[in-house]
Parts: sequence; C-alpha cells; structure tokens
Amino acid sequence: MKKYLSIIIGCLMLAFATSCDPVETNDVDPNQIFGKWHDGTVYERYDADGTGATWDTADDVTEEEAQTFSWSLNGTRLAQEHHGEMSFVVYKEYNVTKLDAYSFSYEDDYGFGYSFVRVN
Amino acid sequence: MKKALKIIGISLASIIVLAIIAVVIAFSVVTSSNKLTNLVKKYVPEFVTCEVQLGKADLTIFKTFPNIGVEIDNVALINPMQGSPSDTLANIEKLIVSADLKKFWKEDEIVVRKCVLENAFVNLYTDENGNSNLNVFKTSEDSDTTASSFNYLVNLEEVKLKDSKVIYTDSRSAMKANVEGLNLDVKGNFKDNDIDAILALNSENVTLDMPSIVLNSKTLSLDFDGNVNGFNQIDGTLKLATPDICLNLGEDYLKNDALNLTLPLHFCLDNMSGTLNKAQIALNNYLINLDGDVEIADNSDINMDLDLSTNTLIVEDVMTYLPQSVVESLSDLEFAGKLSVTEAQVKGTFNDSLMPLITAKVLTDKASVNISSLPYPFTDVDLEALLDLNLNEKSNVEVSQLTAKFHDTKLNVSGFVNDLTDNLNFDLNAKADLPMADIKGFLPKNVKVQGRTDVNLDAKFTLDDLMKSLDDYNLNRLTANGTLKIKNFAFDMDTIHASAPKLDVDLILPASRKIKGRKGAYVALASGDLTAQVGKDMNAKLKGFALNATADDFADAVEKINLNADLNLSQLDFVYDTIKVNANSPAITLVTTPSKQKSKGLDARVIFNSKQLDGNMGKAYLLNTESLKVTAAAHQNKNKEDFLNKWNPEADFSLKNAEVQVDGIAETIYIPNIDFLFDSHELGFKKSTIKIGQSDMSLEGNVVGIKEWIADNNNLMKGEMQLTSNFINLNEIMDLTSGLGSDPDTLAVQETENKEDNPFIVPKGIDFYFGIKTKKAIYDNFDLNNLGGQMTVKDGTLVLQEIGFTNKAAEMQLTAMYRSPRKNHLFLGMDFHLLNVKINDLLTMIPYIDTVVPMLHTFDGEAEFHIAAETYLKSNYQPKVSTMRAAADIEGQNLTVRDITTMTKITDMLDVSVNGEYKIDSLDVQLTVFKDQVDLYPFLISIGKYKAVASGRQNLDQTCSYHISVTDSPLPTRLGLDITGNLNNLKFSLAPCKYKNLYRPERRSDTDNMTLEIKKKIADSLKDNVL
Repeated sequence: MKKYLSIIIGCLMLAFATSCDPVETNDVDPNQIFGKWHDGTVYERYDADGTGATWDTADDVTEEEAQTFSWSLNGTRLAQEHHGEMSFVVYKEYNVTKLDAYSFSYEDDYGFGYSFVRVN
Repeated sequence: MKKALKIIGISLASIIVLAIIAVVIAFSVVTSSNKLTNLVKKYVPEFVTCEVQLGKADLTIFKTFPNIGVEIDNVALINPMQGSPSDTLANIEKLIVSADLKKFWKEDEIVVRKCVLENAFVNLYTDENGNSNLNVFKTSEDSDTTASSFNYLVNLEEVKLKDSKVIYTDSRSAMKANVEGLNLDVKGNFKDNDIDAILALNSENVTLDMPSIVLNSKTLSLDFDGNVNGFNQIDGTLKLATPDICLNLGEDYLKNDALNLTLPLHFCLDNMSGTLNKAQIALNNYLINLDGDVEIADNSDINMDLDLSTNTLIVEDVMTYLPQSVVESLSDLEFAGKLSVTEAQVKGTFNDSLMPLITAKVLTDKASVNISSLPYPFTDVDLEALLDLNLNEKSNVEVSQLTAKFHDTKLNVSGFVNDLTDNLNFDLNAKADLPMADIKGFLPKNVKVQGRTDVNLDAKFTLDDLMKSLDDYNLNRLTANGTLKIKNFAFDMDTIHASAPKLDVDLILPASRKIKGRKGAYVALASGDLTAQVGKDMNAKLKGFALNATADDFADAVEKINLNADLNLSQLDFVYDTIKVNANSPAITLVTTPSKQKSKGLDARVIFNSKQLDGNMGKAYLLNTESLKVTAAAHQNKNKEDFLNKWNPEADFSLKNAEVQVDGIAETIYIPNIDFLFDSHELGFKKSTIKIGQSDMSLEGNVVGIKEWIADNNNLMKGEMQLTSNFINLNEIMDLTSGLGSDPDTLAVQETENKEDNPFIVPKGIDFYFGIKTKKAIYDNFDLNNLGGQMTVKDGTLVLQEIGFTNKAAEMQLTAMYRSPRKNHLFLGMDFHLLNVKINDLLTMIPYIDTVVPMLHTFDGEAEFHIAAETYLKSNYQPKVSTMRAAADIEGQNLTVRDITTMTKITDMLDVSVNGEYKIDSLDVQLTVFKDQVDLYPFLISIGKYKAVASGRQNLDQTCSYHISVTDSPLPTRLGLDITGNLNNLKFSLAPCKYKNLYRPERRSDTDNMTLEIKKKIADSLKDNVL
C-alpha cells in the first residue's frame, strides 16, 4: 500500500510539475509570428531578425514612422523591449494565447492584449 | 639760262646773217641757181663749224614780194655727238629769207622782211659735261664776225617756224623734251644784246620728262610780248594756255586739266629771279591770283614769295587736286561745299623734296564733312580758318570760328587743328546745343540716352586717337575738360533706366589730370532729383545726387570696367520687389576692377554709410535704424550661375539702435548694436546685442556653409554661437524662428489636423550650436535660473543638451530633443532630472507628471525625480498616446502623505497602525509608460515598523489596478490589498500577499530577482545621465 501511495504521489508530483511549466499548445505556432498584424488601427510587425515595429493609424502614424522594438518568443511568453531615443528601455511581457497563419492574440498580466489578424 | 638765251640769239642771228649774205651775193653776182648754191656752200663755213648740207638755193620774188628773197631747200646741220638721239642738229625742209638790202647797206640795219622755216626738225642735245650740239655757230672768239663787228639793228618783221618738231635732251638732268607740231611767230628787233619781241607759239603736243616731273600738254599756246635786255632782263607778259595738261611730280597734280597762265613778269637772268605782278593761273574754272617774287637758284631750287587768292572753289573739286598722299591721309573724310582762299601766301623753296609754305585764310560756306566712323556728317559748316600748309613738316589750321550741325546738334568750335597731312591733331573749344540722342552712335549698342544738353568742351586729341577711342573706349589717349548741362536726361542700358530733369556733368580726360594715378575718364554728376530703375522690380529715387567717378576700360562688358565712384545723396528712396528702403544722407563708395583671372570677371567693393534708415520687406519685416554701415565686396565668377557662386559676396554690416518688427511677432526687436561679417562661406557675429520682447541677448559666433546650404538644402549650414543673456523668454524665441527653412509640404495642413495649429517647426539644413548662459529664462510655465548649457539645432532636430538650471522647486538638468518631421507628427523626447525636488512644486510645474504618475500626488516632501520620456505630438502639442514611452525613477525619504483619506482606507484594511502619523520613511519607485499604460514595478514603502510592497498599473483613462503587500509587520498576519477601478471610485479588496519575499534575498524566486534587476536597470540608466 505504501508502495502504491508512493507511486500515486510521484505521479501527482510529475503531473503538477508538468502543469507548472509553459506548455505549447496547438493554438500557438511560433513560426507564424513573422509578418505584419493589425487589430483595428493598431499595427505590429515582427521581423526575422528579432526586431519589430508598432504604429497606430488612429494617431496619424504611418509604418514608415513606426516605433521599433526588439522581441523574443519563448513558448507562449512574448517579451518586448522598447528602446527610447533618450536612452531608456520599456520592458513588456505578454502571454500568447493564439498564433497561427491568420490570427495572433496575446495579453499581459493585467488582462490587456490584442487580437491581431495578419495583414496580407 | 642766260647762256642758252645767248646761244639761241647768236644762232638765230647767224642763220639770219647767213641768209642775208646769200641774198646780197645773189643780188650782186648770181644769176643762176647753181651759182648761188655754190656760193652759199662756200661761205657757210665762215659762220658754222659743223657740216652743212644744202639743197638748192634760189632767188624768190613772188614769195617775198615786194622784196626779193632767197629760198633754200633742205638745209641740214650735221653735228654728231655721243649720246645724242640723232647726228642731225637741224634739218629745215625749206628756208625762205628776204631782207631790206637798202637798209643793210645804208643804215646798218638788218630788216628781215621774212624768215620762214618750214617743216624743220631740231635736235638739241647737251651731254653730261654740258657740251651742246648747238655750239656750231662761230662767235667772236672763233670767227671774224665778232659781236663787236655785228652792230646791226636786226629788225625781224616776220620770223616763222612752221610745222616743226623740236626735241631737247639734257643728259645732266636726264631731261627729255619733245615739242611737236610747233608753229612759232616772232616779231621784233635785236641790237646790242637787247631783244624786243612779240612771240606767239603753239604746239600740238609738248612733253617733258624728268626724273621727278612728267608734263604733257596738248594744243599748247604760248605768247610773249616783251623785251629782253642785255640777254639778262626779261620784261613782258607771258601767256600760256592749254585745254589739256597733265603734271606728275611723283604723283598726279594735274590730269587732263585746262590751264591758263597770264604772267606779267619781270625776270632777271643774271640771278634768275623775277617778279609776278597780278599774275593769274586759271585751272579749269578756278582762278589763282598771284603777286610776288620767284627765284631759280643755281641748284634749280625755285624760291617763291607769292601772294595768292582764289575765286570760290567747290571743295569736292579741290580735293581732286590735292596730292595723293594728302588724299590718302584724308581717306576717312569726305568734304563738300564751297571754299574760298584769301590772303594766301606761298613762301619757300620748291624742288624735288621741298614744297613751299602756304598760308591762307580759308572760308567755307555751307560745307559738309563726313567722317566715316562718325554716325552723322557735319553739315552747314561755316568755317573761318587760317591754313598753315607746310607739306615738308606739319600743316596746321587755326580755326577762328566754325559753326556746324551734327545731326540735330549745333556746334560752335574754335581752336587749332594741327598736322593736317599726317595725324590730325585737334586742340579745340567746342560749345554745343546737343540733343543726347545724337551721341547714340558713340555709345555701346545697348545704351540709349535722351535729353538736351549745353556742352562746353575743351579737348585735345588726334583724329587717330579719337577714332581708336571711339572704337575701343580707351579714353586715356584724349585730353579734355568739359561741362554738360543736361535737361530732361534719360539713360537706358539693358534693364537699367535712369532719368533726371536736370543733370550737370563735368568731364575730365584723362582722369589722372584730376586724380593722380587714376585712368580713363573722370566724371562728376550732380542732380537734385534722379530716378533709377533696374528691371521691373528695382526702383530708386535719389535726391541731392552727387557722383564723382573715374572709369576706365569700359569697352566690352561691365566686368572689364575699372570704376571708382563716390556717391553722396541727401535722400535715397529704394524699392526692390517688396523691399523698401528710405535712407537719410547715405554715401556710397563703389570700386570695381576686372579680376586678374580672365574667367573670374569683376571684383567690386561697396561701402554704404547711412544715417537714419527705414526699410521694410512687405509687411513681414520692418526696420528702423539710427545708422547703418555696410562694407561689401563681390568677386564675380562668370562660370557660375547661382548668385552666391557667381558673385561671392562679402559684407560687413554694422547697425546701431535699430528696431525690427516681424509679422506674426507682436514684440518689436530692438537692436542696440549688431555687427556681423557675411561672406558666401561664413556669417560672423561680432559682439551684438538684441532685445526681443522680454528677452535680451548678446550674440557672438559664426555661421558657415551658407553658400552650400542655399545651393542645396541637403547641405548643412553650420553655426557656433555664444548666447548670453540676463533674461530670455523662450516662448517668444521659438515663435520667432518657427518654420525657417522647412519644406512647404511639411507645413501643409492635412485634413486630420487643426488648421489653426501652428506648432514650432525646427529649421532644416542647419547645424547650429548655441552656448547658452542666461541668468533667468522662462519656458512655458518654467522659471529657469542660471540657465546654462548647449542648444543645437541640426537638420530639423532641436536638442537642449544637459541644460542646467534651478528654480524654486528644484535643481534641474534637462536634455531634450524636439523634431518636426511634419506638422502633425512632432517628436518630443526628454531626459529630465530633478534633484531635491519638492513633489508638490514638481506637480505644479509639470502637471502632466500627475497624469503619468498619479500616485505622486498622494505624497509630499523632497525627492529625486529622474524621467526619460518620448512621444510624438499632434500639431496642437497633444501627445499621440500610442507613441508614448517613458521610464522614471522616484526616490524619496521622509515623505508626508497628502491624501489621508485614501491612505487611511489602505492602512485600516491592511491592519497597519500609524497612530495618525502618515509619514513614508522611504520610497523607491521605478515605473514605465507604454502607450496609455503606466506600470509601477514593485517598490518598497517603509512606514514606521511596517514595510509594504506596492505595484500596479495606472491607465490614462484614470482606471487602475494596484496591489499592496504588507511584508513586515509586528502582527503575525501578512495581508495583501488589491485596489482597482477608477481613481475617483476605487475598490479595495483583501488579497493574498503577493510580494512577501521580494525584499528577502534568501527567499526570492527567479521572478523576484528578474523584477529587481529590471528595476535596477531602469534606475541606473536614468541616473547615468546626471552630471
């Protein structure tokens, strides 16, 4: 009995351990992030060299005037570093909830996020 | 001459005596022709030394009736001489002589009733030694028939030479004379070497050929009525007439002209001198009256002292009689009209190389002179002049008075014209009533003048120099003093027009006579009122105009001119396009010289000095100054097109006590003094002071690259200026410079913008550095003390670099960047450090911080605040929220809590006891701004025995989501609190303690470490910029 209890406890621990790590789901395909996305007037572009850009046409900003950032995608954790011209950095982290060829969604710890669709 | 006359006389006498002897013999003994012939042959050698050939000699009754004469056929005198054209001296085909024998026998008088020589040929020859073939008649020395024994009175009643030919050759002078068709009729008497004769000669053709004289006359008649005494003194009247005579003395003097001479003369053969009394020479229709003396010297020189006058001459005809050399020297001149010569004298020697001096008073009547290089002929020329014609040296004319017309110009001239036959040399005073249009032909084609002027000109010049100067405009050859008083003056050259109701001109040539070392022309212009225009846009009114100038080398183009000009005005009103300038008593000095490098063109230097000066550029700029001095220079480069590269201008401006008004700027700009040096490469400000509104500035420094910037706006104009001030209102300064140099497209108003917005547009194409040192300044709501630092404006970007200043709230350091790529997309970035700032004052100074970090208004006290932020702005300076990025660090000690209500709510819920003392022992906050989200990284708050960690998000819509964890408390519980909702309606709810281990190093998780590392990075990067 003690042996079975030990096996059950071990399985539970393994199960918990597994559930605590980020898990790639079928909804997130990291290879699909590259390209240009938009959610309404908000646009984001992810380039293969780890840089990207964001602009909002509602504020009369064009892609040529977009602000750049660097990014990394580790599992579903999307990290953005926005380097300002005045020598400062704004760090942002998001949890990607969906990423495929057509749609891309993420949100931060406060529940704020975007649901993009790819711009052809 | 005298000897020749003697020889001729003796020869003639010998022939006559010979004939008389024949007659005597015939009457006494001869009864037949043969006997008579033989007798003549027998006695001829008694009189003639050469061979004599005789044909038949016979008595004649009928041909000499009522006297009996002798007729001899074919009389020939043969006297060969080497060099003679013929060995025959004379050949007379028929000789008829009859004499009055009664008179011969009884009265010792030889009366030749008739002596006719028909078809005679006479060959006279003199060799180089002076031996003549005519020396064949025996004289007293070689014959018994001596002069002393020949004391007969010879009375010639009829001596004729018919259809004869005479040739004369003189080897000494290489002279050849030929007289053909000669008929001679002589009447007179001869005794004791005295001849009283009437001679009539005519010839079909006479030629005379000498080395320097060729004469040919057809149908020549010569009559002489007079006497010859002692073979020496000739008195009588000689008349010569020919309808066709040619005379060449090296060049043609007469050519197929009709010549009539009437010479009452008294001539002495001993000294070969004579007197003409009322002699007259008629050449064609022109008469020359002669009185005076003539002498022929031993060397054949002819010395003359004659008075001379003419009838009215037609000038064109007279010109044809002038020597060719004279005609050629006057080839550029055409004369016409009437001319008369009076009171003339011909005095001097005439020979192969000399001409006598001729003086004469010359009068013309409505003559005309056309000089080929002048645009108009001189007409109505009435001249009274004294001619001094010396063909050996120089011939001169003294012009007593000359009136003429030159197109519409009336001329009155007096003076001298020298060297007539070579290079006409004028020394004249000319007065003229001159319509300015008449000098059009003397000016370059692109120059027109109008008006009417009174001219008074003293001038010295040669015609050659005048012609050259009119051709190449080099006036240094001419000498002149002139005054022109011009009415209704107008001048046009290309696009330049000038006019004046009255203009006085003084002219001096060459300029060196007025100013040492100057060349060309000196001109002084004076006008009370002069207007000038250049093109359609530039106009100037000049009052009290006085110009003194020297100009040289203005033949080809403006850039060749050597010009020194001093212009003084009592008033200048100048308009160029929208620019208007009114100057009081301005003075301008202009010097232009051609560049030493041909490709460069003109070098010019201008000094402008004015007292009171007002100017404006439309309504945009108004200027009023107490004094303005500009020293400018230009160096032309003809290979360049644009203004700066073509002229390479330099200018030194000095302005004192000026006021400038700029449209759009309410404040007047006061300039106590400004002094700057401008050239195409650099604008250099010497110590200059300006007052703009509330601001005062002293500026010093340089701006370079102006030419490159104007040529191409992609190039940068660079400036390095030091700006010191007691007070600056930066708001006014930004208004002053807004929009300079920007592309109009950048400024175009787009539909999304508010058209009324007028944001500050940073100038492009410039790289300016300002070193700033200001005691006090204001910007927006800031009061800035001891402001110092650097400001750069570089190609559309304005940077305030490490500007340090203090105000009542803090010591501050600001680095800011502002760009204006387009009107509705303005970039603002700043790196702002406030040390020892009072939070309340900070929020008052920069209310926007309260929006970004609303929790700040909860506290009060001194803190350090470091923030780096950037955002794009709309045209109304409102931030584009989607572009907002910022990071901030706030550190404080011993802060008090202002929002006690909220703090009480929090402490109550967290079971924190503060006993009514709401003080924050320490605060260390890092936050970032991204778009509308302000994220506060977890930070520690110490309140007495309690410590708490707070974090959260603040949105610009006033919503928030905060969490506070109590980490240190005397109580055993560690509570957490979530604060959510709108700032005006917060919701508080207890929650698990989220950060209980964040500040416990031994228990921190990786996430905690990462959070603290980011906080440190943010704080360190911000503080790194503090000086």
